[in-house]
Order: sequence, then C-alpha cells, then structure tokens
Amino acid sequence: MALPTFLDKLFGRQDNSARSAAKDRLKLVLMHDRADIPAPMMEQMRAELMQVLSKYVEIDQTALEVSLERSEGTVALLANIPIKRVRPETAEA
Amino acid sequence: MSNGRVIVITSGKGGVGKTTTTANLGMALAAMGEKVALLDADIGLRNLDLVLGLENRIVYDIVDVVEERCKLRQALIKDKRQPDLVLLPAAQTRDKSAVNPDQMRKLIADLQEEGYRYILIDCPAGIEQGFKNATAGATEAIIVTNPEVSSVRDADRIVGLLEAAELRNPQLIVNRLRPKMVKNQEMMSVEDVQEILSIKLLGIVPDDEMIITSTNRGEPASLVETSRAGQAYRNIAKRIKGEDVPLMSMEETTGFFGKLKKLFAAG
Amino acid sequence: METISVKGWRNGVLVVVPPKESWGDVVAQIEGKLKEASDFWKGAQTTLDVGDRPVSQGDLDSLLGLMRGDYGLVPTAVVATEPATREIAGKLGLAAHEKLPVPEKKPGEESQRTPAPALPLNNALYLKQTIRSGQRLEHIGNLVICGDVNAGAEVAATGDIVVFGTLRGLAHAGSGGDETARIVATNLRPTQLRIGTKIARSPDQGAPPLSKHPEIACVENGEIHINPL
Repeated sequence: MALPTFLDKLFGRQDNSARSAAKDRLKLVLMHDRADIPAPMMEQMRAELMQVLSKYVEIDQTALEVSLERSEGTVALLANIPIKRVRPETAEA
Repeated sequence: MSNGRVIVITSGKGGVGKTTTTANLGMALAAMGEKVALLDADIGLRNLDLVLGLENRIVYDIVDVVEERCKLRQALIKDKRQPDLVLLPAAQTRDKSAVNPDQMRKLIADLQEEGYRYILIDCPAGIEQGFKNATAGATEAIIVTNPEVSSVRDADRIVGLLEAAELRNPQLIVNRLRPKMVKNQEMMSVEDVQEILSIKLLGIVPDDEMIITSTNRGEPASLVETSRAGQAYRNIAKRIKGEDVPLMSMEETTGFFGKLKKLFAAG
Repeated sequence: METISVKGWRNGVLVVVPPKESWGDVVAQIEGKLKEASDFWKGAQTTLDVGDRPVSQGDLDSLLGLMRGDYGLVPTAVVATEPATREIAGKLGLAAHEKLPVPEKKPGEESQRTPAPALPLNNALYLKQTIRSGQRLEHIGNLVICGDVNAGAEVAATGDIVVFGTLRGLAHAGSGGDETARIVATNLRPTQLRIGTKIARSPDQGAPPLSKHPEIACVENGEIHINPL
C-alpha cells in the first residue's frame, strides 16, 4: 500500500473525488511516459555505463543487463552487472 | 529575435481550443494596436479562417505562397474588424507534406519583413510532420490544455518535444475550466494541472458557452465585452505583451456560482 | 524528382508518366496517387500518357490491371510517341494516340491554379457523387455534378458548372478565363464563386435564406450576379 493511501486510511480521509482520481491517475501514467526510454538511448546508456564501470572493475559484458522496472508508484533503473574481478588501483584515479 | 515575437500555439491533443485561442489572442493583440499575422499550419484541416469568419475571402493559401503561385502579400487576408490583423490560411485540398520546416522558416522571415510584430502559429493536433512544421520557425510556445487527464498527458508529451526542438519555457493556458466542478472536487484545478506539468501559467480561460456562439458566427469572443472567456483572452494578450495582469479571480466565479446556488436553494 | 500527374481532363482522367523515372517507381507512384483519392476515380475513363518511353506489353498490361482491378478506373486510351508502344496498346484493346488530342501543358504549368487552355467546350464530365471538404476537382470542359459540393471542397471547370444538389464550397467556372461561363445549382449557397477572373464571396452576415428555386451565377457588367434560374 502506498504511503499516502495508508495515511488517508489512517486518518479516515476518503478522497474518492473525480478530481483526485484524475490527478493520481495522471501522475502515475506520466511517470511511465516520462520514464519511457527509447531503445537506442537505452543501448547508449548501457554502453556508457559499461565504459565507466570498466575503469574500476572487470565486467562480464555478455551478461550485463540494464532495464527499467516499474512497480507501484515508482520507476527504477535496474542494472545487473556481473563482476569478474576488481582492477588493481591505477594511476588514473 | 529582435524582429518581433513568433509564438506557436500547440497542445498535442485535438479539440482543446488551439484554434479558438489563436484567433482570440490575435484579435486581442491587434486591438491593442499590434501588427499581428495569424498563420494556420493545419494544412488539410483548416479552421482558423472559419473561427475568424474569413472563410469566404480566401483566394490563395499557404501552399500557394510556398509553391510560388502568388506573392505572400496576395495570400494574406485582412481581418474585417481589425486592420492590423491578417490571416495566412492553410490549404484545404493538400496535406501536411505540402510544406516543410525550411519553407515555414522562410515564410515567417518574410512576414517579419512585412512588419508583423506578432506571428501566431496555429499548430495542428498530433506530433508528426504538421507539428514539426508549425514549431519550425517559432521562438516561443504556448500550450493549451483542458483540465482533464488525456489533454494534460498530451500536453506533457508536447513539453518534452518542444524542449527537444529547442523551444524552452513554454507557457500554459488552461482552457475550459469549470470553477464549480473544481469546487465540488469533480475536476482538476489549475493548481493540479500546473503541479503536474510544472510550466509557467499564462492564463486560465473559463468554460463559456459564448465561445460556441461566437465561433458559429465567426466573431471571436475577445471582441465580446461581456464574455468571461473573452475577458480571459484579453488578459492573456496583455500578459504576452509583458503587462502584469492578475489571474482572473476564481473567487468571483465561485461567488457567481455560489449566488446561483443560493438562488436555487432559496427558490 | 518528377512526379506522376493524375488529373481530370475532357475525356475523364489523364495519367501522365514522367519520362525519366523507372517503371517500378512509376507504378508505385500511380498506385500512391490513386490510393490518396481511394475510390474518387471509380468508373472514370482513363487515358495513360507514357510520352516517349517504350513500354513492354507485360508492364503495360499489369499497370492497366492495377488501375482496373484495385481502383475501378476504365482505361480507354494510351498516348505514346513510340510506334511500338502504340501497337502494344492496340493489342490490349485500347485506343492509341501519338499525342494528346488537346494542346498539352508543360510540366511547369500544371500547378493547380493555372487556367487550362481554352477549348471548344463541348465536353462534359458527369459525376454522381458528393464532393467533400478537402477534395478538389478540375475539368477541362463542362462539369455536371449530381450531388452536393460541401464547404471546403473546390470544383473548377473551363466551361460551365451545374450542380444538382447544394453548392456550399468553392466553384470556379470558366477557369481558363472564359467570363461567359455560368454556375448553376439547385441550391446555391457557396463560400465563394469564381467565373473567369472574377471572384464573389458569400455575404459576411448570416447565410442567405434557403432558396426555393435553382439559381444561376454569371458575369454581368463585370460582376458576378446571381439570379433565379
């Protein structure tokens, strides 16, 4: 249960108005719309992520997974990055 | 651009009042003594001529100008009420591909050369070619939305697309607001819409039956002294010019509806 | 890129094929044009002008098949300067001409508003359909429409225009410059009328009352006048 809904319940607030329904539904759908990353951008993000991470760790490139996950109320960027080994410290840092 | 203002009026969703807004703002700006050109970019589905009551005067249209069948000046239709207002009508028997963004930019430059200080572009619904054409030469954008979910969602999409087209800081007009419904928690308020879109509010236009009658007659509501929507459009035109005009008071409106309610309750 | 032109002329529909495009592009373009207008051309007698390009029997036959089968055109004639192409057309049961029986327009002159060359006006196009907003009909000769011409539609003819129905859109008679041309409609309430180079528009305040009689518009003393028929 989302926190606001929980609070509403707790305080016995019943906001079932069309106005708040519209607002809540819109907020949710816009969160999805705004977080919708086009495939080429996703691919580029993946490549750049890998580039940065490779400076510090050795990555199993074939098993790298980047995805967007939506759950109730939030959108998260999930990256599953299997690390082969940590690179020895270089002068770069 | 020092040549004047080039403002595209857009929404994404159809039917929210872009054309009505374009006509009314153009009329109001011209009434304040500005030289205004209205450009109907909705090629194939032209309507701005009808809202302005100028449909029977069209001889040449935007495609005729672009394809050089006539001079720009020949295609401009002078308004019958405001000598400082002209319309460049869209073509009805062609489609969006008849004009491209470069030609649009050239048209706008030519209009500025003719001395039009305000160029308002009525954008077609949608986000395809017509939208790209309409936004091509613009330096500012006004987004029209209604306080309901689908048009706000589309407005949000448009904000993103405008940013991608380097048109930053679009301003918002919330059209067809029904204060009574907001008060009864039946409709999103302006604050709700603004909270979601988080762009600058340019004005609020209340739902007004007079818009329908004035569109039927081809007489924009901003010409009608008693119309609340007309008043709202006149206020918005002043804000576009940089005047500091307070938002039309919702108090007044709720007061009016409140009085009505009391009247009915008493009766 | 040169493009196919599909237009009305005195004998129905004229399809002009540009000289340089590949045959595949030509077929694709024609199909595109016809698709745009969907069933607008249905039943129209069609002349195909291929210019000086040689066309094989197979190519011509399949194009004619496309026009007939998918869009309901009725190909009747082929215009070709190549004798071999004309022979093929004859074999396929079509009339073959070396050139169009009318003064041909140069490609540059084919803009929508360029008046067509004046012709003896004894050719009529009869259409039984409603012309809707966004449609534009041009004809060399006289034009008879059994149906309405809606607001936003445009009809133009080098000769007279007769509408058995309501004319609400734009009508241009004598589009080649003939100011003796006339426009007749059973219910005449146009957005705009043009005869030759003269233009008349509907009154600004209020639509005219529904006329009980057919009316005729013609040029008198240099102005367009409307009288009961």
